[in-house]
Amino acid sequence: MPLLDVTGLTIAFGALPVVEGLDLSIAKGETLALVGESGSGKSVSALSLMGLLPRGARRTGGRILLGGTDITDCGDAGMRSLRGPRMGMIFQEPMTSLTPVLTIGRQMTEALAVHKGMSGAAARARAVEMLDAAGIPQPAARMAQYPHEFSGGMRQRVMIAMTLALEPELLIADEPTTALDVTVQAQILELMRRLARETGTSLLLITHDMGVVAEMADRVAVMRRGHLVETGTARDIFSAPAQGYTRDLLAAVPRMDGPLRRDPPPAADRPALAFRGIGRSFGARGFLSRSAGHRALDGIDLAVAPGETLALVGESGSGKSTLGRIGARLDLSHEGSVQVAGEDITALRGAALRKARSRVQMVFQDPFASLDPRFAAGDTLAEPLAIHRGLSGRALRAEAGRLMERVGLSASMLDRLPHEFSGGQRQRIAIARALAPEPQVVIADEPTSALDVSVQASILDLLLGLQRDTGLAFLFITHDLAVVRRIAHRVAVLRGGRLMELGPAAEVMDRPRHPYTQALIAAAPVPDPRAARQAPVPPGPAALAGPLREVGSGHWVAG
Amino acid sequence: MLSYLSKRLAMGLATILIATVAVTLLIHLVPGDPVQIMYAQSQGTTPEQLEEIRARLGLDQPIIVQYVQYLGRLLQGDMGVTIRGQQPVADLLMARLPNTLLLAFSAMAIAVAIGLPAGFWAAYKRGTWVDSAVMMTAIAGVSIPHFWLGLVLMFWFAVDLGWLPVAGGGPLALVLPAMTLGLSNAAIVARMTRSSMIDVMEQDFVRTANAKGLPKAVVQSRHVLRSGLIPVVTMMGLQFTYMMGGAIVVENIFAWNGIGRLAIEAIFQRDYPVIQGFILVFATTVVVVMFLLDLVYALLDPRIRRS
Repeated sequence: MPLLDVTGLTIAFGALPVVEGLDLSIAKGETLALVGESGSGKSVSALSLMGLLPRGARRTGGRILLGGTDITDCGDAGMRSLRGPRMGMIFQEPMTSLTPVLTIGRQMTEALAVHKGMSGAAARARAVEMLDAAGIPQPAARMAQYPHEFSGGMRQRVMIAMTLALEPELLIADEPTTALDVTVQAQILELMRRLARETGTSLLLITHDMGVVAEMADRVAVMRRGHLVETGTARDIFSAPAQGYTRDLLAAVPRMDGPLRRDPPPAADRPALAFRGIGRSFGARGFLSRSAGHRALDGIDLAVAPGETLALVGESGSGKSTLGRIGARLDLSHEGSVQVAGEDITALRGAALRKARSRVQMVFQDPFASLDPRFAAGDTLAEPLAIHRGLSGRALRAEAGRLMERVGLSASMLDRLPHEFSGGQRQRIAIARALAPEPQVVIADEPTSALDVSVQASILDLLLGLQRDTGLAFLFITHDLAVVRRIAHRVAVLRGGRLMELGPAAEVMDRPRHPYTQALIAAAPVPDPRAARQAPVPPGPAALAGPLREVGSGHWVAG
Repeated sequence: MLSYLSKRLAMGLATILIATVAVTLLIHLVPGDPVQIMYAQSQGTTPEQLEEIRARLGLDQPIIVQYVQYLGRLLQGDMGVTIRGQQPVADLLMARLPNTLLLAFSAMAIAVAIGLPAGFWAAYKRGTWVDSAVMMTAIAGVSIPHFWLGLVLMFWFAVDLGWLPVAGGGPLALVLPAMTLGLSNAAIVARMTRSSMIDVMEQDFVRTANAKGLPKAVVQSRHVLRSGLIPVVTMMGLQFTYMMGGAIVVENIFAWNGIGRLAIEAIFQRDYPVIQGFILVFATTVVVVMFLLDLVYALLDPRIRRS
């Protein structure tokens, strides 16, 4: 008898069905990965099992058996007694998933008191034991701390400890590592695997990341637009997917063992964009505050040649986005200088600054947030065309249409509003907008991270094609090393505001010299269940950040 | 936390200092000669007498000197004397201030006692008839001006039913003015509380609390209420300022012997030292209350308390 047996689950938002006839089953101690792209209905299905559907959504059909008992019509009070001891859930966003005004200890012990009837001291002891098992140093002392005193990875460990402390038979994890850095992700996955094995907990893992699936799952269920596409063992799904959709999905995943970019950048005599001795501190201002501030960037020297893609790689807090903003002249409070095509633009202000900004354009991560929802695509493109190129009337309209076609859309879509486009189409508009002032450099800050894998690949192809046609220089900011392989000529690895390693992509990706680069590459999940699973390499102390020295042709390593 | 509080304290003191500058300049902002305007109503003042008054008020000195002298006297608790009757302004204001504070704090207590639960209840029952009823009442409460509500309450409870005195002092006479001021503010508190609680109920951490299987009441009281109170407390500072302003109107309707009524009288009589003193006391009260609220805010929010 399976632990969880779901048949014909149907969920609707109002009259709109979002999940239809979903069948799932999980055996005791088994890990089932529920995969699919955004909007496939995987998260809503999981919330429905927990009885936690958001307002407006409602289960309209199906049957849910947990441990042989029908819990379909359990009611609110009944579900509350199941949630916690029978099934627990971990969410994507560790930063917001813990109550900010209560201590970690309080949040861990309150559920133990409710479900296990534990007294204060017993609950405390159990919570400390679980925090310790989850790899939180000095667990007893940290019980008295509040969530904001923990990092994102630590908060997710607390969530796991809190949920598993109740010994649920089923653990549902909804994108548990998506918001975390790769090195942290590797540790969290290892923790979930170990704790689930030790306690015999079944795991329903919801993810869009095929690498995570390959590392974790016994069986896989693929969802698309509210329907189950196929289900099978992880090995079968990866090696012999039965459905075309699954095959496409797997083919689109950028792989760490995929080919590197082959075409060399055109020869150039001077860089398109150059950073010299860039430093940046935050939080040191204010006449009443005496704090030294946080050093976000320190002594960065980098250059991107015309037609070249330099990938800027690093984890959260490494300073990579700050450097991008400095390059685009959106952040002016820094040390050092910025040059475009040999011309120093550091000190420019006012009209000259605005003109310089047209030469370096940015594409941001989230096309949902970076386009004005009240501006039609044509209006978004018209602004830079009018301001920087002085176009108006028919000429402007024609140029806007031409830009739309260059990014793979059509001129007939100019009057549509952002919400009438898909995520990938929106990112294309953002790219067209960046191209409008005819820049020499495009700085792309995680341009594919908010997109589904199938869309990701087409956006990367678009960027590569644009670069070949126009000789644009790309500074490509990303945390995804598999993407780096596909698009980068050179790679710069940033950590804590300093360069760790800089060199040709082939050198850095296949023969990394710095221990931090090695740890990053080892932590990236490989979408193949047969791949040898390595234990996560600790990223090492931050102290290994001495001056750069050359170890090969154009290959520099710190320390 | 200490650095947060000392920063707040410094800002409060700076605010009071700015108020003293404004108060010194006030007398010069009125077009024409302030001394002549002040004494225009009293017949038979000779130019010599006006000069003497001017010298007594220090108005013949350069403005910087006037300010420094004013500040110096203020530090010794001297706010000057009233033009009519030559009473010390400080004594007069201090005698009346407790009445106004009593009124304002009673009204605030009524506003919180009614507004908080009503707003929380409306948020909890969002989208039902309870929510609509509470919010409609709140809109009505916000829309009704103090003076009208005051008169209606007075008509019902004092004139018609005769339960409470129309005006005057004492605990019974406090009820009507405090209700007048409190009820309209309860409406504002209810609206703020509702929107803040709805915000919190949608937060990820509330979903986590539910996913742990905590009883509904525990989720609401421990996880939602406490977090939702933080923005409400922040807004209560502004609310209190508004309430002090409202107190001036309400004191006059109910002849409540507070500084608001004193201020209105002083304005009609152009008794500048009293007006100046009133503004200063008013500003100081607001600053003190704001500081106390910052303290509450810090106690509610560990991110501030432990920084």
